Amino acid sequence: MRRSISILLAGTLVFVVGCSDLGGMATRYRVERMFWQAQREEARLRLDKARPDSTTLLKIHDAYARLRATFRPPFVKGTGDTSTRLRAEIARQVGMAELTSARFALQARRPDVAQEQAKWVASVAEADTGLHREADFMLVSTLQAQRKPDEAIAVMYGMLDRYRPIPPSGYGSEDRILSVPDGIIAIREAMGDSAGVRRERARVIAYYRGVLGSSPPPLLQAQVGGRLARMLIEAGRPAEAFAEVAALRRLASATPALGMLQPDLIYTEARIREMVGDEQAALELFDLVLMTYPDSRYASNSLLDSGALLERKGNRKEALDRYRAIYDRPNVDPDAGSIAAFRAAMVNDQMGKWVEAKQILERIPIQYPRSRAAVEAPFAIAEHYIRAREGEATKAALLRAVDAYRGMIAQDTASVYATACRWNIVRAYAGLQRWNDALTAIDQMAILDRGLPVTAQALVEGARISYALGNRARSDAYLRRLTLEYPGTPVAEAARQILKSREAESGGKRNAPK
Amino acid sequence: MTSVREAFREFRWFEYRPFAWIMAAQLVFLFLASSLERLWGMVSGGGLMRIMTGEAGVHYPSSYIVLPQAYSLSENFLTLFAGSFLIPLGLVRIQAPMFRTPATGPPAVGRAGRAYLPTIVSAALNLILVLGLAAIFPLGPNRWIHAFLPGTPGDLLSWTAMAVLSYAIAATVLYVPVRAVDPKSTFRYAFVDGIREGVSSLGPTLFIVLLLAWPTLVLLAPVQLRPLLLVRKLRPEMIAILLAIVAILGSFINYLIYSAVARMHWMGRRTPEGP
Repeated sequence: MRRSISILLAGTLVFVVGCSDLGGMATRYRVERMFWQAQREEARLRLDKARPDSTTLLKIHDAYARLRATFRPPFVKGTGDTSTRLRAEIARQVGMAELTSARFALQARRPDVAQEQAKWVASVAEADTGLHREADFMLVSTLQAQRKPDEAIAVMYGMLDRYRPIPPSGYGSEDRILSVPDGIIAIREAMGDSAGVRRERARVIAYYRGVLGSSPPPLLQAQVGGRLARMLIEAGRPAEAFAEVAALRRLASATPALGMLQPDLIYTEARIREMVGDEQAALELFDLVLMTYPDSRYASNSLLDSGALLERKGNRKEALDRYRAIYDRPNVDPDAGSIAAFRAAMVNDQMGKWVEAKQILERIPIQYPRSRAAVEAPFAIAEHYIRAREGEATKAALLRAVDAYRGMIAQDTASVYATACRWNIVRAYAGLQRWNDALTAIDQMAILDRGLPVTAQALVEGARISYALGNRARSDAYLRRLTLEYPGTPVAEAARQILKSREAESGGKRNAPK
Repeated sequence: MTSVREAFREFRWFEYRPFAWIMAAQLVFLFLASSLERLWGMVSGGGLMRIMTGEAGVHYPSSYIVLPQAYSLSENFLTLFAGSFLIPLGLVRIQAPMFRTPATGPPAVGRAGRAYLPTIVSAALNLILVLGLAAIFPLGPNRWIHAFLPGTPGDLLSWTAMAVLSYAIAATVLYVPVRAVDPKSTFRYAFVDGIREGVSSLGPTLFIVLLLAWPTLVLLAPVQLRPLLLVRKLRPEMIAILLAIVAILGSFINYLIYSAVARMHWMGRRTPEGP
């Protein structure tokens, strides 16, 4: 009898212990079902809406956020291996749902909400580095959307410190962490901070050298080496870039799997040759990429770089042919395509073919709305008319440029080019002498693009226009804002001096005998 | 056609009940496998799904994608072990008015019990042949069909051909339980002669099977051919609902098939041949 009771008790214990894991599995099942339902809700709400409005986006956001509201950490009780594994799986699922929700909050212009969500995911990620990384990527996006570039860059450097790059399974795949350095430099470039760009390049080069110093597997070594060589070229250090390419060539010849590296190596060497002034050798190498690897992504870059080289050499016709070859491709790379189209327009203008040039320039903001060329193209049309001294055409072009910029901002308010668009609107209104509109645009920049160097420039412009219009109070307000929000910059110092002299002037007037 | 018509006309709940028990077990399995979000569902249905389909069986929505496979396994298991007693019991009740034998009580249960061995052997043989066919089919006929009819029509034709061949195999062993419940049946009389009768009556038997079973085929086709499509376009739970309908419909159809076959056998028995 006692034996039967013992067996029964042991059986019950095993059942209860087993059930605790099964309870976790049931929870995981509920989490998966809710995630699937959120995906379904997203598909339903997106139906027939190419660009969902903010209300729809927030509804989708809520559908994904339901998981976090329903399932609370630590998700599963227990301490065994299975419980730990289940907890991690549920945390990953809930975390991914929360990050998806954050993405929609970001699209709905609620970066504050998205930021809180990203921080929450990081807090539940525990040892799940993958989830932590995703949370950090989201945090960077939210900081960028909130116009906090320095904080975003700090987080990005933190990511580079924390997450070692993962060796790829093939040359075609690459760990996202390797794109972070380029992201840092892109942020500095978008800020117009050339000193910052130089500083970050040096730091990024040191980072790449650090990764290479840790003896990574050949594929990762090749990817990092390639990035390092390009960064060295951009930093204007051709000798070091050449040494890096030579090291990569040795690696490629020793590792058969790195045969795919060849177009990258030839292209990089061509750029170095160009940089050191050996233009003929550079052209030959660019052509070698085009002939040997016409489908590689380096083919577009080779066409673009060789086009620019030929343009510099005065061979406009051949340069134009190469630019055309890029944007006439069926699957054009938007980065190379936008630059090629812009350069083709410039070459056409120089060759006296303004009609063709204008057509190309007008197409750029439509074909490549998220590109630097799209920001430059409308103003390039106006500049042509300014040079040609065609007053009425200049006015019409500036008005069209304002419309184009407003359209681009409306398409993507969080775009890195939104600031440049707003600044060009200021320039366009100034060109049209619509001073009040220009001042309104400057006020918008002061709020939306706070902290960026170009905004400091806009405030200077605001102070100048207001003073010229006789509105000294408004001019002083711009200058005061400059001293408060951009302390330590040369323009802030100048603003402080002007304010001081104006105060002295007005004080003197007050004390002067009538 | 006469036997089919009679099978419909002479439907009795009492005769059908053993088939209903198999159906009830199938429905219970589907219910448990569709309740994995609850602890008891995960303990019972989750455990079975994990044994039958691996880890995919306890995740959402993959549990519904592999549910047809698990359902098929559970159906085979139930037919093999429970069906080998319950189907003969149903046949004893169906044949009672024809042979003027008792439909209930120990003699009826005893006859069903004695039919267990030949029935389970024939069911196992049926299963082995169908599995063998499923292994060979993709290597030959499936390729030929897809060579001249690619895409979904080819899939459908191939699946239909496979289903018809499976039904043909099933039709040859249908007479084994029918003969096994004869009061003086022996293993040889039930199994060997049953298969012989199945082969000789293959044409009309297959006709009866296809005539009665086509609605389940229509329902099973999307579930087995495009479970992913059902999951994505409709709801994963739709697969469980369709399978439940297949289980209910299939149970009635099985009863009608056995009833019709028993009547055909009875008509043949009127010529002196029995043991």
